[in-house]
Amino acid sequence: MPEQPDRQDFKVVGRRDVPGSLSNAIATGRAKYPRDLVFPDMLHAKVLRSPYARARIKSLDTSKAEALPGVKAVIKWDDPELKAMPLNYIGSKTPVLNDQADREGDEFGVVVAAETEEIAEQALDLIKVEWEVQPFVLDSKDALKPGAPVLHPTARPDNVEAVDNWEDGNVEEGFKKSANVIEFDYFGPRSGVYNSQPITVVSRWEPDPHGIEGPVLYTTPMYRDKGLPAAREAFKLAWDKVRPITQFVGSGLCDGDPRRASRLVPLLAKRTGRPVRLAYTRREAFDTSGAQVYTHVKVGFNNDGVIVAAHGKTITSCGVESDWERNGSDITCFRMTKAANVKNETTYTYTNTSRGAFLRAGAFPTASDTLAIAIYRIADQLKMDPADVLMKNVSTPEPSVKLCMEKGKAAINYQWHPTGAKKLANGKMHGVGFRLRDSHSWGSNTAIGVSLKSDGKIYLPFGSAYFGVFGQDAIALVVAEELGAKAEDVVVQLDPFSKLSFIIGGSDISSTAYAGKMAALDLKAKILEAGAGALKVKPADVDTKDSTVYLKADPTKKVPFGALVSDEVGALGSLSGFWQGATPTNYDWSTRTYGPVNMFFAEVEVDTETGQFEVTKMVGAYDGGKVLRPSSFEGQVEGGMIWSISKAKTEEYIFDKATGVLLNGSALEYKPGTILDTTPIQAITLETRTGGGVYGSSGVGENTWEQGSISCAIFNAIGKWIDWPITPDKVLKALGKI
Amino acid sequence: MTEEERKHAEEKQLSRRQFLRDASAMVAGTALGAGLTVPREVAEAATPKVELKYTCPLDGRNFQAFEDLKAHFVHAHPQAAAPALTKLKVNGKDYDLQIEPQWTLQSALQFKLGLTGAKTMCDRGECGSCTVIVDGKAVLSCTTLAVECEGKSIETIEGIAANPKWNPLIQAYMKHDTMQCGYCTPGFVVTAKALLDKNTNPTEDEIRQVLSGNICRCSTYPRHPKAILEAAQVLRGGK
Repeated sequence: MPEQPDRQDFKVVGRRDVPGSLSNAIATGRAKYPRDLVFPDMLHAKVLRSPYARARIKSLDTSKAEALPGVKAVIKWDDPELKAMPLNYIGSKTPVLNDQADREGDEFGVVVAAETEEIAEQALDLIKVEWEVQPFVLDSKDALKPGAPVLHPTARPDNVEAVDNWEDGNVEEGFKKSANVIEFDYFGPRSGVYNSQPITVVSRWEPDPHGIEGPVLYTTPMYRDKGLPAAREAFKLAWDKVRPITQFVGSGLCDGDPRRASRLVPLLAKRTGRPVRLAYTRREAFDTSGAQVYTHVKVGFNNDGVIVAAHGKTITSCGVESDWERNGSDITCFRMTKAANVKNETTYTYTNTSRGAFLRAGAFPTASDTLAIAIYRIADQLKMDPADVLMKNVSTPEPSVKLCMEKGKAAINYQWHPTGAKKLANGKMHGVGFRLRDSHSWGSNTAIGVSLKSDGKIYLPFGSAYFGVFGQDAIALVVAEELGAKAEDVVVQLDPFSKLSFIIGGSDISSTAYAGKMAALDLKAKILEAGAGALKVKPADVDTKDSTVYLKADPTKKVPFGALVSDEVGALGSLSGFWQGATPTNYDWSTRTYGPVNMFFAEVEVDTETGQFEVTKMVGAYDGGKVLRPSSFEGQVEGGMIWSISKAKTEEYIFDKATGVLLNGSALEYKPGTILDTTPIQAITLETRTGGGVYGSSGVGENTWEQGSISCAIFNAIGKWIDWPITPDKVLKALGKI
Repeated sequence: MTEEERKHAEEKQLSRRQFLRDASAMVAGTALGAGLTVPREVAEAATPKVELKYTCPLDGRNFQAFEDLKAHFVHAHPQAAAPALTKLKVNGKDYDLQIEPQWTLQSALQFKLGLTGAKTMCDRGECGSCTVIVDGKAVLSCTTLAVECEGKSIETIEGIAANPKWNPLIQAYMKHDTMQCGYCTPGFVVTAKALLDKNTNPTEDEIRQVLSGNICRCSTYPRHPKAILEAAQVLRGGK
């Protein structure tokens, strides 16, 4: 059950002046990411990658590579130990190293380790491969056509990874009752994470530091730490025998897959008895992308703009395979409306393209592009303000939607005009758009333990890979708040061996912080008891403040936290609080339940002569329920807006249709946004205390970008729907100028 | 340095925890820590003590002494040009390093000196994450050959962080959460320092122009001008 908003007075939560626990290490360059790790006698690995979109190895001659001086290991796909490993990772249909490649750049066939990276590359060049080049399919729709090449014939003979069909009410009846029916197509291109650190795996085996039988594998985690269980499963190791070398992983942005390297590198290290490093090139790191999405939407609505029925048919691609069973947006977002009749039919397909990843939850079913577009189309047809149409339709406008709408409109200076009706003095067309999305908290099974030590500090062991959401720092504020401790007295204790205090993603912080609160309350009860004992009163007579236990009747009588425990032999060495359980969430689409929302607004100017457009302002009005750490919270909202601008303008994986080769696998060609692409943006944080997390908070980070607001603004400006990325040629083509 | 001097120098340094406590207090207050002592690990990170080994680029054999590598070349690779040592001055300290002619400065810093603040993100001069300062100019170490830098003064993020003068810049970055995953952050800080070396009072637009070659995938962009403007003010002696 969602926690009821409880605490009203906050002394620590919400402060902006407590820097991140890792910020100094990061800013001074001392933070070690997997790619930074250098060990004495470290070998360098390279893995064969397919130059073809789909191919099988007919024969493989590695003799020259094996004979090359400096080469220390050559492991082929048919190696018995490799073949005995379970399938590559969650969602995978292929072995760790296969003789079959299913996308250009796929790692397969053989992996080598050598004294230098150059020698490893030379070794790969010396491998003689006889290829069986096979037909391939790139497009999700094409994957379903009869006769299409089948990627995983044993597992999925029809290229269908999954289907998700459901119906609320009866859409056919709903359409009959509707005064108006419109249909439109929505398209989402494949775009990538562009992880800041190209994937790098470093592994080494060492004797157990305590002399216990069996070596310990030290290796690098991935975002969400999935690199570790991938290795543990492969080598059938006890849980404590696989340990992360570092907790820094670079940007995760929801791309959490372990790669094949998570098992190949430990294997090479095992065979050679030396540390091994495998570092992807930037080109190789273009190996995952968000889903390609085609949705055909049919919407029935009345003349007042109220939606009666919606039906969506979606075909979306997981790429070559996906770690998520559901990896595409659809029309689930219509469950945020009052429409009783909603039908969804989604088919997830396999294609010979980059592996499906989750990308800041942009493709999560709650993504609401299709709803945003429907609202604007309905408004255009009825000559109504789309803001009014949305408010008529959204099922629970109070307080969150109404507040986001009100604050967002004010910040963007929203003055509605009909489609294509506002030409600016500079000759450009003006448009404004918005989209609505829920601010969900995942909720998860988690555990948190906190301990008061004799130095007066409260230690919060934190075991997650650090991917940049300041989650551990937000939880530390909650712990300090509940304990009555000074903020600086709660120490985030980076403990890679601990899986206490684990965070999956940005939307998980508020619910994990709930666990932090409960653990702190458990500890506080013990502190009060110990403090009361020290003051020779009853626990009910004391309370905590500024890391002391004080007598309520006479606050001058107090004892510091640190005095309650002692390092003396026989003394109480620490006081600990603990909580474990399912943390709350705030959404359940099957029952049309959702918590606080966020609304993004975009204002654009479109040059109809050149086809170029600029986002002149963007506003993210985000109801976080209760904001735990405002600066990093706003950073997530800002990040989502900047992603939206970058992806609206440039980002798309472009595959050569003839060969299936990715054509734009570099920063220059893929064009992730820079500071100059960042137009004025404004993050507005709102607090309705209606979220499922601690204090009624909700998630942020994973639901902060999508296509809706900018697409709708472009439509408002020129009356045309243009698929992302919205490039000048597409604009001019839509306007009939080319 | 005598043992007594060393102890005295160490005592002047701060423990990590004390530093973080002070840094937090500074960030919390108005002053951005001008004059704050640099903690020992930050100071020491700038000029690492490295145990050099010498590797044959042709067969990967390792040698403890450079002379042994040269002798190995005479016997094992008589036709090949013998390797030479390159003198690099990094964060004020001179190093004689075995560097292959094709090695980038980023590779030399990472694999020879263990200096990893200059990060590889694009490896093509497209992202700014590997920025270092060479003879006063911000350069991309992933597209600069290490041997080209012989005799030049190389300044990395580790060297900047070790200089108390630049505490205000580091602390402004901390104060504004001017990082998320943090991988690109050192590149931004080095670029900002190079700007402030030349322009102590930059405008926001000038900052944006200078940082336009740095990619932050987490999209912390709006925070950098704030942090740099604030640091610049402190560095000029303002509050």
